[in-house]
Amino acid sequence: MNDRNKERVLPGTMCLVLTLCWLGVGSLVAQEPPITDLAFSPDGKTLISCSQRGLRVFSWPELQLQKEISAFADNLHCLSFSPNEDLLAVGGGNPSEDGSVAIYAWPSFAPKFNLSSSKDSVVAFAWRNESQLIAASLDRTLVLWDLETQSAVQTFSGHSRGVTAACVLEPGEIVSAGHDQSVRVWSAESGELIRSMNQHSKPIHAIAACPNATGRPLIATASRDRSIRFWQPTIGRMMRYVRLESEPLDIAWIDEKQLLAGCIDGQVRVVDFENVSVSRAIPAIQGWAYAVAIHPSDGSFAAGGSDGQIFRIDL
Amino acid sequence: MDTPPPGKSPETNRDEAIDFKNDLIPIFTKLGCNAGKCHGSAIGRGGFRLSLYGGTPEADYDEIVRKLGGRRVNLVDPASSLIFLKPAEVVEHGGGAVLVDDDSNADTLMKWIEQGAKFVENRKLVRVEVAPKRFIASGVADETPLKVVAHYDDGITRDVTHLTKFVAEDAAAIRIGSNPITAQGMRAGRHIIIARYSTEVVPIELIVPNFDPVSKLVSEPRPNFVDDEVLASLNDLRLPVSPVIADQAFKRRVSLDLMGQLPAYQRMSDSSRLDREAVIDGILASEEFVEFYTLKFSKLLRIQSKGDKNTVPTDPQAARGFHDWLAEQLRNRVGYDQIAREIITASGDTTQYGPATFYTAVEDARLQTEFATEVFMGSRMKCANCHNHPLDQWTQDDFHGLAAIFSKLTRSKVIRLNPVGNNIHPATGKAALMKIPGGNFLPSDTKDGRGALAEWLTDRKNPYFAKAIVNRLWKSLMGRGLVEPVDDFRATNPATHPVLLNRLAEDFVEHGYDIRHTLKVIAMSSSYSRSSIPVKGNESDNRFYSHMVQKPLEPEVLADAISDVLGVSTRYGDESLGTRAIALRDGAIQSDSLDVLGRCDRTNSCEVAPAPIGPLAQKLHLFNGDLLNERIGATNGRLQKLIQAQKTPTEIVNVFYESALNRQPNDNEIDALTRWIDLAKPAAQQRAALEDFVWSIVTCKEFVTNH
Repeated sequence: MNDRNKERVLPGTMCLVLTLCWLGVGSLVAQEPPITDLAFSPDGKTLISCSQRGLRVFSWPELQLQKEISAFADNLHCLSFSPNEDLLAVGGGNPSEDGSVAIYAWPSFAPKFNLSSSKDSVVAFAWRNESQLIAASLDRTLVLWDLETQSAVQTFSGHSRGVTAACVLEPGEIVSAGHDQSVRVWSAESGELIRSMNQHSKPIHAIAACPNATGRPLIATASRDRSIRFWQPTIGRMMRYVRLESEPLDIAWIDEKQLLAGCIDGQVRVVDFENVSVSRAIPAIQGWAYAVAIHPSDGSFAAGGSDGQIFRIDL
Repeated sequence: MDTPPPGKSPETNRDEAIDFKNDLIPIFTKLGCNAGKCHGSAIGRGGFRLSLYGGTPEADYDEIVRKLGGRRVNLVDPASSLIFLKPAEVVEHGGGAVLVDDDSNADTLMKWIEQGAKFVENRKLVRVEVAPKRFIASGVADETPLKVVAHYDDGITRDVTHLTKFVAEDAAAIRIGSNPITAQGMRAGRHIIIARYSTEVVPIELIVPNFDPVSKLVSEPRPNFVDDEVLASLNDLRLPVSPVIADQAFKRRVSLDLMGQLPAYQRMSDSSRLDREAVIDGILASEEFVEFYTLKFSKLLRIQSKGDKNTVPTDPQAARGFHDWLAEQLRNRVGYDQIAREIITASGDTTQYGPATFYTAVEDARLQTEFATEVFMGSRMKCANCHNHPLDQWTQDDFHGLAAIFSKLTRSKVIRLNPVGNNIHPATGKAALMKIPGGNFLPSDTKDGRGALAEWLTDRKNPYFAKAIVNRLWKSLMGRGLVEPVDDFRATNPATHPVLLNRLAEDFVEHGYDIRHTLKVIAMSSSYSRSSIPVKGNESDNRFYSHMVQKPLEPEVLADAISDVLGVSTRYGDESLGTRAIALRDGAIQSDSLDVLGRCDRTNSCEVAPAPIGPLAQKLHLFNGDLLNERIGATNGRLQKLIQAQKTPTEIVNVFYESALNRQPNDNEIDALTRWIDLAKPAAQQRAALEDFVWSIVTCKEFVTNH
């Protein structure tokens, strides 16, 4: 591991101090696999990353490696803490063969059980409640798991290509999106498709529900068509969209007015929802910025991407 | 791509690092992974999309290494990489097992992943050299080894035969062997093998001569260089030639080819000889030539009025104006380069200035790009709309750069500059920069790039312009282009006679881009004068001009010929009765006759000739329809007038043979017709028999083709 601190002058007049941690140059020969997802522990003291290397646990803000856990599959794609903050779900799989979800106890990191029913990798999660988890898979399905019975409660079929993103709306509806360019709203209870929204013109990479939206639920989606679109999915309305200079791979809301987008040019962009504009573009990753995670309290975020890079950046 | 891929690996010795562009992409091409029927298709396959034949290695790198969280390459456990497991069919693969564990391709792929799956480009490919480029076999199954050497920008050369994909144009005629890689022609003829390494494609010509030895070609007359080249090719193939046709037949042929009409029949004594050059000169100087070649160019330039709500309208006056302008250029012997320049740079009111109508033929700048390059470069650039052309040099930048030039125009009755017009480049999502195909980008402040385009296109050294038009002129006389289709010039579709094509183009340029000059050169050659009847040994030849190709008459020419022979005119739209079909100034003029005969609707450039044996509906019309039957028996028709003039059946038969076929019936035909038109029968039956005879004359192959 190679730690270092840098000062970096960002576009405009703002000068920020970045704490940078370049991970994974363990070998001078082989390139490190990309960081595919990041998650902060509920108390904000720990950052967890996943990649083909497995899980890595870092102290925050120091980014000191504290623990490594081997991957349970060839590829790990997603991480998510349960609402009660006592479980960590990790998704992944062996490409074109199977997909699975590993549940760990937090903070002990004790493995609890694995869930597997997919024919391809699990790439995204959404918790419905403490005991129910939605897993999106490249096998074109969403599966609603009951963790108490460790069984699949519902399978949502309808996407014509891999499902890459999911979130849960308060009323009990589930939203998914995927490579078929559609955003779909499902009834969590019946598993029926309620509506499908098709304004994206290329595959969709990510969904993020706005945490404190007033009125109807609000979500954002990021797509290969370089747009981030904002929706009121309960009424099937696309409210507005912003076209970025570079393709966004992952998004995370900062607050109800701004969100972060990690992009394939390695920059993380701050998108203003109300003005549908990019207010800042922050150089972060040498390569693709696959994952962004907002720290719960200290005003910083983490960006991860190509070559195993992880950066801490103050907002 | 927003960010460049990682640079060369500093940790790995340059010569040990697997080169993504020069080592790996060729493997994908050789295995067929990036072919159009597999992951190279526009939408990819199985969610995995590669650029067609590796045309965009940077995008392929992203697809393989970076997309889907990098799951296709496993840097921790290379042997678990999907990019290896799929082609090795360790996991289910629609394309089957294309990688074998112990082959060198698998080794290279695995080594690349082990090295970190980096985008390494050790050196840039400059060109590839194929040996042999041309192989004349001693006979069927004669084998030749194939070798491909890549030349790089650092001076290094490398044998890349094993990384080269060889594809025979006719897979049944060529056998490609492996270890060592060889080619065998399994059938007599000229065969093309396409060698593809990386982005380079090189054609290999493999000639398997006939078994029968041919002599006498040396003594064949060679009025000009056309025959030198045609006979040299025939000599290689050991193909015999058909004899030169007689003067009457020559006159019919050249009249139909250059004027679009049958010549008047003149009896010639056995001793008299036609001055063929004088005949050609006379035709080329005639108004009929201007009329006919205006029709040909009108078809090429898609001149017709139109007003559908889904199309850019073309006013009838604009269509006629463009037609008349073209006729004026031909009449005044204006060089083709100047004609092209005026068309390309035309602006203004289309009803006032004909050439501006060029910009109402199609709906948008991209279609204009396809249209213009097909017409003036003989090149189908449209593949490059979506991806770099897999079989040619054209890139998306070329296509969209040219479309950007045309996007600066409004398309309506008045063609004018539109400063805010642009063409979005699909690869970048931004307005494409104006660019000369295969050349430079134009300065960003260029308001109208058409001047630069026209200058480049009509430059004496332009490699496309002159060849494209002389190839079309060649086809109009010889029935088949030296490059066929005539709008598909590319390295992988080589000319049957490349030297001849070059010489014709150079000669055309040297003579001021004079269409008449090139037509005369071709028409004066012995090759043009050959009989269409094959001789023993050249029956199967359809591309080397050992005998003339039988050309179906163009619909307009056939319509006029029928009118001339029957002595009854057809009315076209609102034109006055007697207006000839080849003189119509608007391709959209209503005419059931022309539709029945297969008229091209000019939504394309009418480059495909109507089939000699037309579709069923056309045949039924000819058998039963009014086009012939009513006119054969018309009271003002030629047959009725001859009968009224009390001509004998024999005299009537002679008249129709002379007017339709430019010859007199031979003894066998006279014998058969005498029995058919039985003078002992009542007059009504004789008349019916004569009508049947006339019908057979105007529907026989000898009449409906130029042969």
